[in-house]
Amino acid sequence: MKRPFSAAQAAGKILSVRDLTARIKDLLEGDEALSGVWVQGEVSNLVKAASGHVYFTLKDEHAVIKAALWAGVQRQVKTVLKNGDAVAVCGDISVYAPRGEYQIIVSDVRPAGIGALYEAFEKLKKKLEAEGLFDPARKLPLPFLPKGIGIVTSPKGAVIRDIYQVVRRRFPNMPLYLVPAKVQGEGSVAEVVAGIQLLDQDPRVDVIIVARGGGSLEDLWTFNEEAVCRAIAAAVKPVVSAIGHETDFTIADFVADRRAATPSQAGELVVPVKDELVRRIQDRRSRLHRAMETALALCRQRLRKAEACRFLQKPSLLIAERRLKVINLAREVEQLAGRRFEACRHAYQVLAARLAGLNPRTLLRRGFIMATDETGTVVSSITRLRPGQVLRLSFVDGRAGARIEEPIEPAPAPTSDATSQEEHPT
Amino acid sequence: MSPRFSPQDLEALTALTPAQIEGMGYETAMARLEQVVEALEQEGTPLQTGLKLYEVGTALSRRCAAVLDATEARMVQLRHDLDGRREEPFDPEKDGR
Repeated sequence: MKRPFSAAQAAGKILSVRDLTARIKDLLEGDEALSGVWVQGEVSNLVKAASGHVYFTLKDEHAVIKAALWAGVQRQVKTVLKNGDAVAVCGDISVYAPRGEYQIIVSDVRPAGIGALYEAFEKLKKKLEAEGLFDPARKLPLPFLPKGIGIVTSPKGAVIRDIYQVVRRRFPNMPLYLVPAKVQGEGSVAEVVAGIQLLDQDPRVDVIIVARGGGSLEDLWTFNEEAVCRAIAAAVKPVVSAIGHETDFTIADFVADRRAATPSQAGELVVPVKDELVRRIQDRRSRLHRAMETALALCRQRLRKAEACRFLQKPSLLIAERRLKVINLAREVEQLAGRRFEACRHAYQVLAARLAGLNPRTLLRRGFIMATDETGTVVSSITRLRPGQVLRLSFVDGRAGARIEEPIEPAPAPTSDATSQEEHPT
Repeated sequence: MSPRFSPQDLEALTALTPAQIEGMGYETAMARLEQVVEALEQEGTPLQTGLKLYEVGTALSRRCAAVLDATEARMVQLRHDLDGRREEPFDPEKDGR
């Protein structure tokens, strides 16, 4: 596409070289795909500067690219570069504006051939991932406390020693079963696979560690082999991988049920700290004792409360209360009977007094006189009197005859005494 | 307020035999004992029933105490067994070979 000059000028869109280069720099350095990229080629024009930095060109039949390997990175890179070497380098693309050049700033160097390995790595990883072998749902949980631990690794070196020491420190009498295996080079795949299968069938083993120390990609390659990965995936027991250093990843790590960053960490993953378990058991035990003692104490308290019943403490109360009641009742009966007797006596005395008042002799003694006619009938009314009639008068101490004289006059009003005397003639 | 225990209830409580009581666990014996106490304290319980309740009550109380004593003894024994065994398997000198 060509833009007219005048139009560009009018729009103020004529860039300086600096601006253009800055734009290119942004494009190249901002591209994710060009960051940390691996590129393979042949080393040429290698120059080692006094500062320690190394400058070279990486080329193939069709293209070249300038490369810079800074002194600090150079010291960490294991591969020594020389002209004519076929290498793969990893780095970021950088634009150097003063020279209008772009170059790759190298962060890692591997001998060529490594590219093929990476390809194989990615291919197998994709394949197994597609099969679902990395699926978190497939991962077996590690046993809380295994009966025994199986280890597939080299019998020599730091790896088995680290695992042994960690496990022994954490759980002194934990049995370890080592299947010695070559962990790199020819025959290593078959030995590691056989080791995993052997331990998977061993009833004394509950968890398997597949371990290897650090090394280059090629050194660790056994654990990127399909047979090893499939043996790990096929194991019915949980497998812990501990391969290389923390930064090294192998496909075995993805397939394993658990990845340990280091062999020591593998030891920590597979066994708990026995002292802690013992402490926990002791803690539970003392809680158990306390709970039991509390329960028992509550039972005793309940029993004491029931036993405190006054009738159980002093059964005589059962009788005493009733006895008291009997005594009270008896007293009441006595009082009631006494009162009744008094009432009767009183009634008798009243009657007796009244009776005494009615005795005719008493009346005679008080001066009253009883008159009878010739037939002996008591005369209590003037209606039966005639002048000259003879009556017999009875006194308290004897009798005398009397004759009625005139006049015979009725009393102004009759008294009740007269009637009562008539009713009680004797 | 009507009494909590009917004559039939009282009859059932006083009918407990020593053999029945000896066969009781703590909970059963305790529950019965509490009923007996309540019945004893209830107004209007006949004297004869009261005496029987007292008899059953003392037997139940003895039973409860016996069960608790036996339980405690067993607990002490178990604890002794457990604590006595504790040192052995965790001795690093023996196990740390």
